[in-house]
Amino acid sequence: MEDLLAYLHFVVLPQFIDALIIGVALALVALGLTMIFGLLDVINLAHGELYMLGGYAAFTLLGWGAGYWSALVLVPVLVGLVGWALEELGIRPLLPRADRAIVTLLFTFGVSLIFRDIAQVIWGTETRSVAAPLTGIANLAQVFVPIYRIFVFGAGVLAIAVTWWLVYRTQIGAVLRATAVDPSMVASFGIPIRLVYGFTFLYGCGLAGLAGVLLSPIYAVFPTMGHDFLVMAFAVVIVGGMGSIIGAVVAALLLAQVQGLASLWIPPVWAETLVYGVMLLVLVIRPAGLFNRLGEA
Amino acid sequence: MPLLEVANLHAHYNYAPVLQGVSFAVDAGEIVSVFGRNGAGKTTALRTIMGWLRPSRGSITFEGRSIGGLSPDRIFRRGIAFVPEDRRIFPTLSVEENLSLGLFSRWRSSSAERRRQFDRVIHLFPRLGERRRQLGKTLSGGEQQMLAIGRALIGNPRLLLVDEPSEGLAPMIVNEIFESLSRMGNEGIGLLLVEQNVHRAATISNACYVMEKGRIVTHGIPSVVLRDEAVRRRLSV
Repeated sequence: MEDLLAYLHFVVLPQFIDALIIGVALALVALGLTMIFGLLDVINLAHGELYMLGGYAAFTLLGWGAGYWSALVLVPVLVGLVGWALEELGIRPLLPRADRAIVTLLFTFGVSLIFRDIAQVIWGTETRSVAAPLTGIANLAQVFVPIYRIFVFGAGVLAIAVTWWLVYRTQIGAVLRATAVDPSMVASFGIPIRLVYGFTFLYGCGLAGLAGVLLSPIYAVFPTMGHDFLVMAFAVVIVGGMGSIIGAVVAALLLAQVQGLASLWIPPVWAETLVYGVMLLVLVIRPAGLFNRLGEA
Repeated sequence: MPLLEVANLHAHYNYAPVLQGVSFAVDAGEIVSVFGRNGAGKTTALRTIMGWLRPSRGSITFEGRSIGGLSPDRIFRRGIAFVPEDRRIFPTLSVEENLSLGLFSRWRSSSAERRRQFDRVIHLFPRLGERRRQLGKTLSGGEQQMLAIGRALIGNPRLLLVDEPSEGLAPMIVNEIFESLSRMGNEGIGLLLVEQNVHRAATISNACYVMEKGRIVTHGIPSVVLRDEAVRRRLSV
């Protein structure tokens, strides 16, 4: 019994805490993805590359002498603006088309390849590291956790809470939820839908940028980092329910734990496969995901 | 100069013509009804005025300025609000949030003015005040219709387009809805009303138009128009 408790304390608990931190960061990427899908019916395949841009922007700003904290504020705004430009210039002209789902998918796929290539040209193919602004280790009941990881968890939880407050407790949120259900009716109240869509991209991509800055000192920065993270974020969105804010958060925490804890007992590659197994299971049992879409009953 | 003037309006869905040269006018404080069988083009006329459908020909003039082809948000900001046929309230938004959407584009208004508009709607439909925290999907059909009208009214429009307000409602509620519409007319708001309940609509209307196959076939004072046997046959009343 004592051995089991020690195993849980010193092996399982640290892994649980690690997966919790990854889950929160994953939720930030998935939130943007699901908001964009919930409002525009657009599957943004370039979302992972916006997360990557967040990492490289932090790396570049720090290289120019900016502090980490100013990068933490600036990068989400910059990446958000890139997302907004993407919507304004590329996606909006495609929205009136009957085949919008497929053409926007192809468009964002093309953008993701271009962004990845641009990153390789500018920053090279090698991995770049970003120094963590907080050093030291915290002792949480004899579990040693880097203080920076605790900070990432706190910042991620704060960003999720702000997103929840924005969507469910403000007038802007009421407009977002209403637009997800019936955009033409929202327009009939004098609200320009193009601004709502632009704001959604700005905010959703800004969250991906934030995740990029937060995780860059942990995982470093490299051109394909967005692709790897996006696949996982898609699993989150599918399990949580396409277009569901709460679903994205719950599924991100759940799938990060599935992957994290499973890798204690099975090879990490199989742990990742297990995540997609969970996704397939949810698709079979509840194709719409665990939670309802934004704005739906 | 009429508040709204529609002249020789044509509109179509894909290649099927729905409106084929429709003309009518609404003055401030006037209630104008449009009657006709299903598929006559009544709802399409309202949707085209509101910008949901682009006119292919003809003109729509509001307060002397052309609004034909403008987007719905710009038309709303010019002073026209729309209560669609199926109400289309937002099911997971509370009554208060549904109403707030009608005020969203009036962000330049003072909070006192916004409060006054809110109180005005609650005064007109006290039940909405009692249910302000309830989600739209939990309201009865009559309450949803009140919310749909209140939500359109709260932005202080000068013209209200109302499509089938009595559809699926109990007679008591229908009376309540029509009394409120009549009061709006008395307050100086122009109303363009599409309604299958011809007799009930006629009691509050100053003028009516009868549509058939995308065209206006007759118009005038409702009591006179509805006395015509041919019109009664057309409308099956």
